[in-house]
Amino acid sequence: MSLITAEKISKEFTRKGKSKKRFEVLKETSFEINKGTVTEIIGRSGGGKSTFVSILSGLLQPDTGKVYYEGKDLYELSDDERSKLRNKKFGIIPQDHMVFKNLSVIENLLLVKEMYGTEDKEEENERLAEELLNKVGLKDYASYKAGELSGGELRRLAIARALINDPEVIFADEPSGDLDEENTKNVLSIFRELTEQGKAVILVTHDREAIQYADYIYRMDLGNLKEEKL
Amino acid sequence: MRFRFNLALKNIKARAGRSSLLIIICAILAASVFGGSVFIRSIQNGLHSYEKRLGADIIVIPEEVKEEGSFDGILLQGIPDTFYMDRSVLEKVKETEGVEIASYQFFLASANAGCCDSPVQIIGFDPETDFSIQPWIREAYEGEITDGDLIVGSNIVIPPNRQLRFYNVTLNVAAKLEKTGTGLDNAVFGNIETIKSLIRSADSLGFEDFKDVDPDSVISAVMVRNEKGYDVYKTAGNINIPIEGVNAVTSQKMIYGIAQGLKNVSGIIGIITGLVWVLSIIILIALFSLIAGERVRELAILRITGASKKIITGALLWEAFLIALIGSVSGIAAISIVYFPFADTIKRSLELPVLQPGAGFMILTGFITIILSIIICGVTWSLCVLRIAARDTGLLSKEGV
Repeated sequence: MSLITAEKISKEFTRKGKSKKRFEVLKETSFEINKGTVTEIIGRSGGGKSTFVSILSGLLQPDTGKVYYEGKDLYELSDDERSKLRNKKFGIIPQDHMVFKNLSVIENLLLVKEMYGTEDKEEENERLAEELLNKVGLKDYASYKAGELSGGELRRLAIARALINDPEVIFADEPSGDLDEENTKNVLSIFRELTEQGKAVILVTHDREAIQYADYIYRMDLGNLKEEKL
Repeated sequence: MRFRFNLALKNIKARAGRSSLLIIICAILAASVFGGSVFIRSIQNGLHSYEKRLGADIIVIPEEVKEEGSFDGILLQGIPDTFYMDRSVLEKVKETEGVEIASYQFFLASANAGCCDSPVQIIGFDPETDFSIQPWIREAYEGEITDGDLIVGSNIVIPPNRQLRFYNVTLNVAAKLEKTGTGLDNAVFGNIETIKSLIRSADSLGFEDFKDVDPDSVISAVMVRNEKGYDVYKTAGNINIPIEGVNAVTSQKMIYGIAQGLKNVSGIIGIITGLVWVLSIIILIALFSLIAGERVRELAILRITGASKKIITGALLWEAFLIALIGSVSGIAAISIVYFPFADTIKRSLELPVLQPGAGFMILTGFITIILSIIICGVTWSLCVLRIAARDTGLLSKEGV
């Protein structure tokens, strides 16, 4: 049974400015993600990859079509249920450096961990956060303000944050964007390790290095998703 | 709930500059409401107390005293003064049409010299006929006021031996009166015999004001209670026209002047408070709108990491609540620190009776001010930020990046 299934999803946006012209970002796209796989989505910039990932992760409602997670229609769930699911089951690594720069590195992780009532397990949460920071090479920066980190370090922080709740699915939008070769390899290895634990990883990337870690590759072109042979 | 509160607290701490600015504006809002309310209430209380303490419908005093304004100075600001008129005025007033009761009083100032403990206004009354001072004294002292006894105003400091010395005469302090907010708080009261002994002693000590003054043939003022149903202004006219050298002033006229002053001051304070509120609300809205862009990013991060709209709304409302609470409490504390130590100076400069309201009024006003600040802050905050929180997460995250 697939972990996430998207059925004929489409999405339109209205262009900003005077024209207010509508444009179709996704055209009746269907898709499946299975447990224990790395799926890559490649394609031109502005081709709808990020929008697609936002819809799959419950962040953006499609105009038509359905998205199922373990058989449950994501957009039939209430905002509370969908948000909690996103917190517990999904790990999202956004394209840009979306972290709280005024909080410390470890606080950024604990905030996500404690969102649905685990503040009482403070020590355990901290230990887990430190372990993850160690894994992404940020152990020594735990008490630093996130704003003090470089672009690559912020990217690794976002990766650690996405993994803090031991999610079933990881959505990573250009995760290697700011990373050097060594850190890219490290992060992709982490993703590979996660699939060995039965987790699913969806990577939106332009990185050729990432291809060797993928089980499936899809190309997004003008709102159409096509599988490519490895 | 705990997470929302902690998140709000973290946000306030993490954005110390932004939070401080908002707290300062809330503090200004609260300070203007609390300070304005307490001050207006103080002068309302002062007027009420002044009206109550006058106790007479008409006050007859020497003409020159009214012209110089020294009687108002005694009653409003507690500036001691001595004045006399012939005792025959009392009999003439008693016989005037419209007068129900007339009782005389002495007003003499203690000297700023070694013979006197402090410069105060000494007021003597006739226990047999007095109707204006004794009812007030009875609120603080039930016993008989015998010769040599003094009842002191609330601002007078009573020495440990409970004795005060004026013109080398030692007098016993029987009781202290409640605060009135008027000049009478700086006065001491005794019966006529006590005052006469002071006048005689002052004369023997060579004080010019009392030279050759026979205390049995002079008085300072006549307090008049008007006959029921008789026009009080007509009674005042009945006194002023035939009796030479005196001025009969109705208490209504005296209060009218104060009430006008009060109305003007209250109006100015009201306008200033209103302006501060309008300006503060405009600044709050402008600030909230300015930081709304910044909040889009924060809210997008929270949504991406799984915060529901309820969690975000809750955290934002906690943030607004905490900012308003800290701001309003600080504002009330700051205005109290500035206002209360200078209340007497303000009172003197305004020449109005000022009587601070009791603790109950202060606590209630403080509480209402805090609630009002929380509502204003919450509403303006909601207008600017909560509508962002309610937007589609995907669009939010797209704008946030």
